[in-house]
Order: sequence, then structure tokens, then C-alpha cells
Amino acid sequence: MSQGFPQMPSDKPSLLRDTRQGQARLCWKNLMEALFFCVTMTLLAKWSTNLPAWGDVIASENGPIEMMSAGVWFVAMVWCLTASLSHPPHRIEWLGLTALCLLFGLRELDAHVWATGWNLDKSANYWNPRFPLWERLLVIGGMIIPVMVIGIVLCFRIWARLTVDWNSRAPWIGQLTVGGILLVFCVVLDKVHGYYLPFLGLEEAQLFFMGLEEFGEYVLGIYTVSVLWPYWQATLPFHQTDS
Amino acid sequence: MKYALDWIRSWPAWMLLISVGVTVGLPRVPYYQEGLPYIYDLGGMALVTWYIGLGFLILGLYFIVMGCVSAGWFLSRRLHAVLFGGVALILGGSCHWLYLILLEMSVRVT
Repeated sequence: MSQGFPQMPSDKPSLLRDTRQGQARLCWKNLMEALFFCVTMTLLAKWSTNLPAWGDVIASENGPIEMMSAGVWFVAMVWCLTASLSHPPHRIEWLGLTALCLLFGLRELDAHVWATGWNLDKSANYWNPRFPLWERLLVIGGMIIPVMVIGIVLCFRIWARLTVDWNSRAPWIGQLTVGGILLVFCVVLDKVHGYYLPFLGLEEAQLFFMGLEEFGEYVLGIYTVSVLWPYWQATLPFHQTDS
Repeated sequence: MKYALDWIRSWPAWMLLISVGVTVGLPRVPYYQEGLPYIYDLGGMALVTWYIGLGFLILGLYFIVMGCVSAGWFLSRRLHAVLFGGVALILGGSCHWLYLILLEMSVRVT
């Protein structure tokens, strides 16, 4: 099989059990592919939308990059949901990933702001009496606690396999680590351009940091897809029988 | 031909569809030009529904195309792939229908 494009590994691994292709370079391959893809799509978006400035394409809220980024998360959500239905042994993992992808997509569209009228990201808002108490409690009970439960369940499932898979150099550990680093990078950029740039006297750099954050979020989405791709394929019925 | 098949099996081919769908398709859907989806709750929900519909559409296409590629066009051998693809396309269509209803409601509300 040609390796010109990312392909399903020949051993068709199931989620968290790929122990044969444990190369660290796989993580970097995923990351570089994602970067290359995102740069290409950014250029195409600039060309196809005829937007005058690069800032309108990359850094603006509701711009093409943010729209594409949200699209990636929602498509990934649908695919994870399908994988959970067709692959019972790892249903919990797939459902957890479905919920996470939905959450990331909603976060990308700022759903929490238009749905509640206030920013759920700011912890001070939970103590703010201007917002109805029942609404704050609803957000905590209906969103934050379920997300924490999903995170805890996924962490337990990962923790149970960590030692064995670490020793066998399973690639998912490196892939998860690189994904985590990307996520932290985006969160830090989000906070930096939102709160700290004015303190540092770097207001002019606001657009640059916003663009970097939006682009980083897009890369994170595409990176996630590139990592999950062989696992998705391994769960689909016609891939399981065509070897 | 083999290169084309490798391309179809790879994730960039399907992620490219998302980019095209969002940058070309989204601005052309009804009411979106007026900027409603981001301002009102119902419009926001409509936008999320549109995205999920796009997800089902791409999943449906993937099932049908990959089902055909895997089976070498002998659809009867891989009927379930086409069947799943059809279900995904119907779900995608339903999402789009719901999107239009939500947007119409948001127009009425505003």
C-alpha cells in the first residue's frame, strides 16, 4: 500500500490497543500533516472568500478558520458516535470522545454565550448576582458536572491501560500528549490575548495572538481527526472485512 | 488510479469536504447572510444543527464511496455500507430541515 497519504495501519488496531506501531515519529507525522493541511486550507479560504485582509480570514470571530474549525469538531462528533455504535468493546471511549467533540464544537461557536447570555469561561461569573442563580446552577449541573464525569471516566479507562501500553510503546500515549500540549497552547493564547496583552503594553499584537489562537484551534481539530482516522476506519464494518 | 484510491481513503480528502462545505456552502444557506445565527438563541441552535447535518452528510458520502471502493462496485456484497450511508444521508437531510425550521422560527421571534 502506498504511504503517500495517511492510511489505516495494516493491523487495523482498535482504540487504545495499538501496540505494534509504537513510533514517536507517528505523533509528529500527525502534527506536521495537520499543520500542512491547515495552512493549505487557510490559503484556499482566503482565495475562495475574497476577504480583503488575512486578519478577516484567520483572526476574526465567525471567520472562515473558526467556521472550518467548528465544522471539524462536529463532523468528528458524528464519526465518534458512529464508531460507538459499531464498536461495542470501546463504546464508552467513543461516547466520551463524542461528548468531547460536541463540547469543543459548541465552544468554538461560543454556544455558551448565545445560549445563556453570559460567558461560562469566566469563573467570576458564577459568583455574579447579575445572572440568575438557577441558570448558574443549571450550567454547573447540566454541563460542568457531566463533562467532569466524562473526563474522570476517560481518565480511569486510560489509566488502566497506561502501564501496559507505555511499556509496549503504544503511539496513543504520544498522540494524546501532543494533543494535550496543543490544547494548552490554545488555552494560554486565549487567556493571553484576552487579559494579559494590555497589561504587557502589547495591544497592537492582539490581532496576531487572536489569529494564532484560532489557527491553533483549527490545527488541534485537524490533528485530532488525523489521529483518530485509523481508529475510526478500524471500527467500520466494510473495513473490517476487506483485508 | 491507485493514487486516487489512496487519496479517497485518506482523511485530507474528507476534511477538504468540510472546508468546502463551510466556506462555500454555509454562506449560501438561507438567512445566514443576514447574520442571524450568531445573534439569537434559535439561530445559534440552527447553526449547530447545520453543522451536525454536514457531519452526517460527509459520513453518508464516506460510507457510500468507501463501500463501493471496498466492494469494487459490487454493491450487493457490501449492501450494509450503502444502507448505513443512506441512513446517514437521511439524518443529514433531517438536520438541514430542522435547521431551516429553527431559522424560520428565529426570524419570526425577532
